[in-house]
Amino acid sequence: MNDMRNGYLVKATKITRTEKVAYVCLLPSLVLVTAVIFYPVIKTFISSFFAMDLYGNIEHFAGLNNFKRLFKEDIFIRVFINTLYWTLGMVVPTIIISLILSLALNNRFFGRKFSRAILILPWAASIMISALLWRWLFNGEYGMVNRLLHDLHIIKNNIHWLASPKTSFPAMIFVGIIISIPFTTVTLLAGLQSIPDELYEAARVDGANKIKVLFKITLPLLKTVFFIVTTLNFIYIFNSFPIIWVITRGNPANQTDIIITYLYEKAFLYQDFGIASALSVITFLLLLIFSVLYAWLLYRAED
Amino acid sequence: MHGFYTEQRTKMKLGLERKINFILIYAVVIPILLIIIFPFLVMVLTSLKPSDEIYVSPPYWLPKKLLYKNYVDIWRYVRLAHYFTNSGIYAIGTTVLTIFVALPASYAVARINFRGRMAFLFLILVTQMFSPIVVIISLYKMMAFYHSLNTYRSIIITYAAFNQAFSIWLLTGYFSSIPKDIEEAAMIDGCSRFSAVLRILIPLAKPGIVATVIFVFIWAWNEFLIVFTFISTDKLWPLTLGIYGFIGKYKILWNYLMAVSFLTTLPVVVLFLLIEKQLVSGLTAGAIK
Amino acid sequence: MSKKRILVLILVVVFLFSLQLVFAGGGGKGKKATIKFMAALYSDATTPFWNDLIAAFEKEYPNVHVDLDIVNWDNVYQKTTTLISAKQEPDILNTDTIMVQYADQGLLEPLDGYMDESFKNEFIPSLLKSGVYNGKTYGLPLLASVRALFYNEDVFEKAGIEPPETAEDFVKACLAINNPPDFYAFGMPITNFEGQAYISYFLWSAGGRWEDENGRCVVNSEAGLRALNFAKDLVNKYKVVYPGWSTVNRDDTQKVMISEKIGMMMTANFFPTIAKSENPDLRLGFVPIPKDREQSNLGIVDSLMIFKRSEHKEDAFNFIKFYYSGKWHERFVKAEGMLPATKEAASDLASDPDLGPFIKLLPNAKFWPLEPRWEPMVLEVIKAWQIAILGQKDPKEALDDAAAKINKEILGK
Repeated sequence: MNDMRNGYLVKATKITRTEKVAYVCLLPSLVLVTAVIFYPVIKTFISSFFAMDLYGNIEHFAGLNNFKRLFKEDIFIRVFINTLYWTLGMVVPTIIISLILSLALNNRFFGRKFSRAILILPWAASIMISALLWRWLFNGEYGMVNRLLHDLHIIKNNIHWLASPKTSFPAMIFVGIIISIPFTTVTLLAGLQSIPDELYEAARVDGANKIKVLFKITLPLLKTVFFIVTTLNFIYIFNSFPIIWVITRGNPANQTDIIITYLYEKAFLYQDFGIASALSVITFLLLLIFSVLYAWLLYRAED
Repeated sequence: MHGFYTEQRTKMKLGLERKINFILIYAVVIPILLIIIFPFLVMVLTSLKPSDEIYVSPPYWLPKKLLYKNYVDIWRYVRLAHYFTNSGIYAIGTTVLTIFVALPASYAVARINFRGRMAFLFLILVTQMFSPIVVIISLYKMMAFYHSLNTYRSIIITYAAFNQAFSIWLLTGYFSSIPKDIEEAAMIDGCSRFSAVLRILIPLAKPGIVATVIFVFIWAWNEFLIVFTFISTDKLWPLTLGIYGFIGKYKILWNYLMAVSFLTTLPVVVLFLLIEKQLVSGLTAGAIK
Repeated sequence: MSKKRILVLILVVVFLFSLQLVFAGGGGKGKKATIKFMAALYSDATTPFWNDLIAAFEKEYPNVHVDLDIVNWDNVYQKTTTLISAKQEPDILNTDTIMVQYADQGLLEPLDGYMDESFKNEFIPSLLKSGVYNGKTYGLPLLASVRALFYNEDVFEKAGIEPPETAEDFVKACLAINNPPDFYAFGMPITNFEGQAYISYFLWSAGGRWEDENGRCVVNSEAGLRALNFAKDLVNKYKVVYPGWSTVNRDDTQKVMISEKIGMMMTANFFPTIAKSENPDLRLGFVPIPKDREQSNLGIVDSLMIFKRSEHKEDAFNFIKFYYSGKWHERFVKAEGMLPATKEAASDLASDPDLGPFIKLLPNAKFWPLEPRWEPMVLEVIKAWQIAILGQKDPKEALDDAAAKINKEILGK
């Protein structure tokens, strides 16, 4: 995607043979996502303008009523801010740590294979089970985190991690970071591995030191993969459900909820599908705006 | 080929810089790995504990009694072998279908400058912006309409759709970072486009393909919501549902749960170890020439 | 192979795949009637039990096949809502208070016509009654549980006090055994997991109710406010409550009590069974919920019900009846550590050391109101209680706001 913003062809009218090949290549994918994702999503979006019964079936037209009711909820602002805090608080550290880790793992060193195997563990385990485990670990009385901190003489009295959003939310973000690091690192690592040796050799020959190589060769060539990984991470984490649902379930009073967990509660516990659909639309708009902004920011340098 | 060193450096410079490098690497990698492995250590230790050692305050590190029997018992409680098989079917099926569908699309986006290229990319990205929670009811209705409830295919197709965005973006990224010239040279030499892709591009892009395969496999292996909703018969249960046999309304059998969870991660780790060498490329050397 | 041929091959494969998707049906037909039974997961004993029962049932009724779908409680509402939305309800469902909503929506088959007097008489009357809505029986009680105040006998002996009977005694007992941060007197989980139980203990004890005769929410009555302030004082004034009360759910709080860090908490009859396997040294005693103005006890019933859309209602009812035949019901409740719903099982198990003492409490247990919109209603009240106790809102205001919102938006009253 070296020339991502340049999508126009010279010939404006006839579809070239090469283009035909491209369209055929796209077809299966397009059909798949349209049938499985777009069709239901469009239905959901449309339904956000309707009042629905207790089981998600459309009843009558309601205009913007669902959105009005959503914005009237006291807790909505808090949930929205939580979501931003959650997403940025997780994406930024994850990317930084993963980048460093992937650069490190890109080298041959003793224990590399073992390190990679360990790295894969949080990714290999289901998020729900990891979350359950962490909920147990963070318990103030019988949890291992306090025990460990105690043994390392970092704390004297038990910290009640889950008792208040001030400690429970950061704790859950920490869990999310641990869970996100593996796949981010592996993805970046694959990107690093694609950088041809010749470039490094040439730089060596020219006498460049390591820092220069990092900033002049490695990082720029990693830009594409980096952009993809950050964007996908952002979107993925924004919608990350199991960690919060398993550990605090939004307690107390939705104060540790993010949009997706709040949506689930509204949809399946309140059975208020109107608000749930409105929330889906809002989520989509937010993520779309982010993606476009981020792409523009990252690529406006090139032109 | 890995990283910053080549054989052209002198052995002395190599020695010192290498040492500093190793220290830096270990200083970074070890703490992070320790934090990552911490819950898994706890998982394994708990899986070996008897029930009366789990809720103790302050908690013990090591089990007072090692209960290997836990690992035997779990196979009795639930149909574990069966769940493993189903998980395998869903994960492998999804991975194959996803790659099969995403690879051509990624190739087109990366290599062909067609009209609507950016639109397609963003369209695909948009599909990632919807959590399955948002569409689960409509999806279920659709599967019911196509008489596909309680089938393997409903799961595999749905999973493959949700993984298109990630796969296409990732594969496109990796393809793009490989210079076009290599294939074009081959095509000028008389190779067909298809042949060039198969024999040149794909081997060079192996790290990217491997990363994608790992991602999709793990995603499918661990997915819960969709399979929970679509499947109502335990014949088709994967491990993620089977594990719930240990999470009751009033009581969680932690030791068994941890034992099963640990076993659940093993195939993934094994898969990873088998193909991780591909994450190491080293095939570009000399290719441009 | 040329590129074109490969493409054609791919297209053919995809086409065949999608044909299969459209035309292949699910499951075979044959002479047997298949009934779908969605059961809730209580413990590791649940699945083996239903499998055994189904095997025996199918032997006796060879023309019926039962498809079992075990669902865990955390996600059951999501799945049933989805199924109902797609008109794919199971034939038989095992669930909790949401049954009232399904009955109210006309989704359930009234069972009165299927039962004769002698069958009806098998049940403990109060439990059978909790499945009756608008005069018709929609749910049969699968099992029951009652709540009590459990206390750590060793701690009480050491402090030289008796387990409390009144609200006043209760506060005194808390103060006597409280020793933060090493030991907390009282575990009070009020979370969206089952906060309505704890609220009920305080609310009913203070003489309050959830709804009045017209079905309006009245948790903001004088008694309701009294109950909330009582809980609030326990946390803020007397400081006897375990700190995780607003986030750590009842099950995890039980575990803290099992690890001997909490002296008292209110929970269900199965607590001693769980505690025994996890801490055999713990000595647990129990007393009824302390009385403030009224004495009450919370009972909970989970039910079996049949959906109207079922095409095999007779067979479904036979299956349900089979559950109550022989010793199946008794076996189930004993395995799950729950309380029986039939008189016969109750008398058989009266001498059971784990269940006996609680069975006695069943006939006088009080149940939650039969409210179709129970779940969203309690969620709002739980949040109000949490916010008030955390000091983020004045208690009276929190309750008034919650009641107003519930009555207007949720109950439509």
